[in-house]
Amino acid sequence: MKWLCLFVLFMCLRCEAANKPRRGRGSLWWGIAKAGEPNNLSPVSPGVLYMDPGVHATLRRKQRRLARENPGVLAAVAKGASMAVAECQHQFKYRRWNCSTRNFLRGKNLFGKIVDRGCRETAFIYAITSAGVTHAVSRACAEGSIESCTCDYSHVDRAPHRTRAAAAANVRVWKWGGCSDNIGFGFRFSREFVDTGERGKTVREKMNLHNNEAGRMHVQTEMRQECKCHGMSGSCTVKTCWMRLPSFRSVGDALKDRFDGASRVMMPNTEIEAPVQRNDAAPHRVPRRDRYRFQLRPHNPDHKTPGAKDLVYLESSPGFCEKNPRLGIPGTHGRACNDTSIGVDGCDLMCCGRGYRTETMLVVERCNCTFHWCCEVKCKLCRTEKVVHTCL
Amino acid sequence: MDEEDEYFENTWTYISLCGEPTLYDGLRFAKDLILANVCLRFIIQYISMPHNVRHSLSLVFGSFLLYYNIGWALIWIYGLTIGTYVLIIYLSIFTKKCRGFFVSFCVILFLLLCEIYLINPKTWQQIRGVQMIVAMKVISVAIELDRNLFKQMLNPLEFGGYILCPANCILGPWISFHTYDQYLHVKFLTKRWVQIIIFNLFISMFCLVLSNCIVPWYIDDNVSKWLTAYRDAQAFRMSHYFVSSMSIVSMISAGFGLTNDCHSDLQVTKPFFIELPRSLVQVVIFWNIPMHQWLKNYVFKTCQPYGQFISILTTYAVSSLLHGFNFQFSAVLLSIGTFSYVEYNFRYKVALALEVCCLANPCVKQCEHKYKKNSLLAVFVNTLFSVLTIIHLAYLGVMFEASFSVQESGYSFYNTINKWENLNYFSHGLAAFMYLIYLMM
Repeated sequence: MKWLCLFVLFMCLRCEAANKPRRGRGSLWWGIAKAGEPNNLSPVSPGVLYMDPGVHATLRRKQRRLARENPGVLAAVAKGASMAVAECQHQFKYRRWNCSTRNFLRGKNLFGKIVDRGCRETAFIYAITSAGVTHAVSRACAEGSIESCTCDYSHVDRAPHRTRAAAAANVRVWKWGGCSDNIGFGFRFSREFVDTGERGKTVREKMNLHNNEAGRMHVQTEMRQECKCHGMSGSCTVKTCWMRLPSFRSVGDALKDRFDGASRVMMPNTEIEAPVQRNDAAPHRVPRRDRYRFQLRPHNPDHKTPGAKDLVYLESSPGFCEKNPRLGIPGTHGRACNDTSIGVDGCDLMCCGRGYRTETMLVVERCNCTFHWCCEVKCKLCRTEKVVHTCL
Repeated sequence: MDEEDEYFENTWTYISLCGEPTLYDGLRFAKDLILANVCLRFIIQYISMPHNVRHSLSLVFGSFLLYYNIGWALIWIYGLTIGTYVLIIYLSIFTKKCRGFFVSFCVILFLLLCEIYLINPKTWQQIRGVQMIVAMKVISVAIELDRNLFKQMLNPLEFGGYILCPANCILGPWISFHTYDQYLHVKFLTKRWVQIIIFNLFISMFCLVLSNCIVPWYIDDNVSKWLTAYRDAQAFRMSHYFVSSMSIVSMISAGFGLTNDCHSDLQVTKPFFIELPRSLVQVVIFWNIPMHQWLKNYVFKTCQPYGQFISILTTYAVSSLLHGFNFQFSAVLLSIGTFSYVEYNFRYKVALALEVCCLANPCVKQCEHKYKKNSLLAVFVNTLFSVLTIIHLAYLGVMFEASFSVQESGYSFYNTINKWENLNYFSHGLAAFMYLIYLMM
């Protein structure tokens, strides 16, 4: 009996050990989204963000190096991550899985154990966070708050393989605002930072890489340089150019559409490497970007292969109705629902047929606000009755 | 509340992401322009020099400025300048009366050849404005020679200095040789000088940001097509105000166009008279005042002996040819010509019929009509005509809104026709309708 216990204990330890590296390799950095919030990490100002040990613990060594080499970038990453979390929660507000984040603890994943499974929700999380970083870093670049990406020719020259990598990914090297300000920096940085640790060896890692790349693609295709000519009677004597970045909401909307139409791809042992054209690759050295050259094959052979902007997943989603500690699913108990809707936010579907409780609550909110010149808004406090439905 | 905050943040981000680089580009352009002109002014101001040295200074600074802006396309400008000078000298041997005509003919022919055969479209779009200014200056010199306004033939330095003067070789405005010569000698500089430069620079940057960022943003793409047309036309007009006020900046910083007490007496365009127009005729006048004067003085007056109709037609033809052999400009200018002609006559008839002060140009002194300009009827009729003019302007200006590649390499026939077809040729129909009523009245 004693031996059996020991054996079970040993097996459990092995499970842990086997699970540990799988759990979100390289995705612990999501925790940076909550950096600066009380009770998670000590509040820090953006300038000293990279010094904070709590933040450091969430980053891999390469990510720390990137943060060190590009001062100011970590604040942008943090902003991008929290933007992604907020957008994810906005998109999934009325669904059974509402993109809830757990109280951030060191060494645990921000989105919970759901990311251990290669399901649709995981695909969305990866895509939106990678898009968030691309968006925020590009914007910070354009605003000039990252020193290493503005008006610096030497930066591009020193790392020619990066430029080529950008060219390979069809990222145009922007010449903007008169200097070689590289908006493609956001894209490249996101690749370096977000994809750390996804080596593209296993199919799960390929899934992550594909979804990260899809998120970036959504930002990049809408990010464009616009120019306009000025001169006597419509000639082009003076040229002015600027950058247009999509609103993150539109990126979130687009990704949500892809989430609904995500394609399921095949699990391992049937993978065949697609033929690779390497006309632009450096001949003497195998560059790391080769990890992006793979083709995922659809689970159903009749479906077409997923495109660069599509989300891919490996296994069907678990039910989100009941609490499942093993997957870190809180269940829909206590969620608010809409009793008149027949959609996913309706009480029937949201509460998974368990029924719901209806309460009348007295809500105090500001109303009849008037604007006083200048600059003050005065409001009254109104008490209104609100009917709230919550799932049992 | 959150949505609203987000909206404001997004708007602000958009404006700053657009406005900052726009201002950067605009100021970078202004920097060269101001630097060259201020250097010229300081040298003229503080070192007394003989007449010809001043002109050669102007020539040198102008060449540098042009080189910094358009690069080696500068040779085309030199070619035109030297070629026309030689031509004028050569023609002077044979004739004293027809130099103006021959020079105009050759200059326009040269411009057309350049556009069609010699220069690639991108470079051409870049130097078109400069070439236009050069052409206008050359033609004005030739015609003034015919009119015996010069004591003797200009020497090459005077001629070159006038043509390549940094104050107006890039963005205009056109000034006559006598004004140029006079400005080169005046020395009225006070603190106000800097104030005027900064003020005009501010206006031009404001118009630039309006044109690039704010006007295209404040009306959404998917509202009615007329609002979009209005927006696009307005963005183009703002771009024109930018160019105009920038040209004032360059003139003033060279100390040109200052009165005795250091006030600016330059006026290139009048934005308020164009944004809230009284009539198309007024828009044509106030769009580019120096250009209007040039056309009136050198083309219209020269042709006047051959009859009113011929001279109007020649004026529009020359103005359209100066813009190059381009369907877009010919169509727009011809349309403006017709519309304003119809409008002018129609309003004349209406004013007679209703006895209202609603002529295309406001009455100079006392109106002879029964209803004066402040009467209710006059205000109503004039507002109506203003609205029609605004519609015309939207219809005509929408042409100039195009993708950057089109702007950079020139507008095509299909671009023009598509845009107008999209608006159902409304203004042409309106003008035809007004003309019919005019005939019936």
